[in-house]
Amino acid sequence: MKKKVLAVLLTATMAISMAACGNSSEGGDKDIKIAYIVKAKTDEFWTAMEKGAYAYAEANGVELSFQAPEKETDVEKQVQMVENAVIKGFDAIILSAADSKSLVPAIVKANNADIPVILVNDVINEEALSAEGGHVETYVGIDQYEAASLAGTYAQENTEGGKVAYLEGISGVAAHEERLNGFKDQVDFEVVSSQTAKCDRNEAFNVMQNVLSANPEVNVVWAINAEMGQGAIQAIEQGGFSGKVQVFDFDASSDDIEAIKAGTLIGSVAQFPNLQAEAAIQACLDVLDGKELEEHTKTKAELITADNVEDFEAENK
Amino acid sequence: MKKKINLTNMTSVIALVVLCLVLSIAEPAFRSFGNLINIFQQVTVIAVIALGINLVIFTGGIDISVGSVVAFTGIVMGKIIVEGGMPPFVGVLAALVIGLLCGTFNGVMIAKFKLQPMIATLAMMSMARGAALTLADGQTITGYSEGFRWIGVGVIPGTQVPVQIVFMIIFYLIAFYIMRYRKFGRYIYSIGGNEEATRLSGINTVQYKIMAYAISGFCAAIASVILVAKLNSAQSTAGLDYEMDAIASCVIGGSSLLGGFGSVWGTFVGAIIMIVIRNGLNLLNVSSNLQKLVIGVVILLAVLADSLRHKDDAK
Repeated sequence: MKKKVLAVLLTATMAISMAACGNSSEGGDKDIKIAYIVKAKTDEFWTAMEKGAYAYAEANGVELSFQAPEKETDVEKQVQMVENAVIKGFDAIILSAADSKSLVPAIVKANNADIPVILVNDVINEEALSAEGGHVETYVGIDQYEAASLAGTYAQENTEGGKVAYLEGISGVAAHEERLNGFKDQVDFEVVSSQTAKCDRNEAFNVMQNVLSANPEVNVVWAINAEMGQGAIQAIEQGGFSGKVQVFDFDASSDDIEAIKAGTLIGSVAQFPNLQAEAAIQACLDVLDGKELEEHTKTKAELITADNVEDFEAENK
Repeated sequence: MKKKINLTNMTSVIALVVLCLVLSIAEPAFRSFGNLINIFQQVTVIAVIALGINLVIFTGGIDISVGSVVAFTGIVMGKIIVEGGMPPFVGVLAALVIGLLCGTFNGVMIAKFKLQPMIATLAMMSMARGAALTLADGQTITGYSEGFRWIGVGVIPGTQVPVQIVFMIIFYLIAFYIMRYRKFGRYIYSIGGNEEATRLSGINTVQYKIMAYAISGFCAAIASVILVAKLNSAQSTAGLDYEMDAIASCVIGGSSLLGGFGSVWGTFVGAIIMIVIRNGLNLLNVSSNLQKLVIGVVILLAVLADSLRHKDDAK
């Protein structure tokens, strides 16, 4: 009997080690090794970033390890990934922080090991970071506030007597708050609802349904990511409100592009994750070359509407 | 009885040793001293939560509210220490009391009002998470004193050994002593083995079951204190799914979800196996999606081993 139980557990370890070996076949002969740690791989934004990152790394002879916890809310697991990257001795770490404050101790650990940290897409709370004596080389990404204001300005110019519903993101994530404020500050609308749908399509569907039944006069929606924008569009269509509500969202995912062409989505802010990945890896190479970087390495953002959707699609195929 | 417990411990220990050997060969960074410290640091929170859940599982119950209790107690503590400006021990005390109360509430619902453990703790899971989200109102509460953060990041003077590891080991030693040598431990196992028979032999099973759930909530609060001190921040989304990791630790360590069977050290080993898998696969650059799959396979195999053992008992 003992043998049987043992055999089962040994098989388990074998299975794990095989899974491990299957994935450790990366080339180990490249000079520069970069750990690229993001928040999740569950939406297109991250997979586009991953693709862009690997392409640029390949072209520049960099060995890349692109990692992410399962969910954007798995903050502790992301902290562990940074700690593990420090132990593994990467030359640089690119980080998209899942929480603007909780990642600070992990960044300090990398600092202590003389591993440069470059932020991408998400900023860290600077006060908290400097209080701990930590530092990062640069933040690579769009200006979230400015990018969101592109959509806000467009909405303000094209809508009269706006009644707006906001679909907020994950609380505590600085980028999400900036996106919300960037839009809010440009418009002069009556706010009928402002709730989080946790960046999730299904939750956004539910929230939007509730908003529509409580406030059928709503005519503008600002969703701070594409998943929630899509959820809202579904709820609007099913509720028979098609054409009455102008939806704006963020990310310009492939669903968004289809929706813009179909007219169910008015505009989406594209933030070109592939360009961010390239700039982040280039920033690592520059730092390792001894160059000083600007505090913010700004990358491009653009509002995609029916006017420019064709061009955008052609460029990003 | 003793012999069987030894067998359980042995199989998971052997699995852990083999796992570590394989990972050491596959990944040089795995066998560094710094990584060993990292593994123990990474295991603390789950191991402490699992310690509490373990007691509940011994009685044949389950507690899925602990992840939410981690968030709730953390937020309360953050509010008191950072926003209230009170000394850290007041915040810690409040967190521990609230954890204990959440657990006691679960226990009363289950033992006294005969609710299904899964349903009662599901309700608590939602209530505690809701309370945490409401209280935090979207904010991450950060900015704790050096003294408080020592719990999560301090090291024993002259070494690199984090104090949180020492805390964890002390908790396990206490639990081991109580479960092995005190009547409380014997009654808990006995309730899981046969609750009716235990009650008929004159033991207040209601009281002991409530205590098991109360301790589970209490352990979640301790884990929360360590987590907040470690990350220097309390978040309302903290601890999502931690109950699943903790339950998996118990199961991998040989505890039976039918109750009455398992050991404190087995759970410790189970928690370490979980973290070693995650740590090792992460170092090997295996995606977290695949890690999840591997951990699922390990849980399945551990449960399979458990059921084989019970089949053997029945013969």
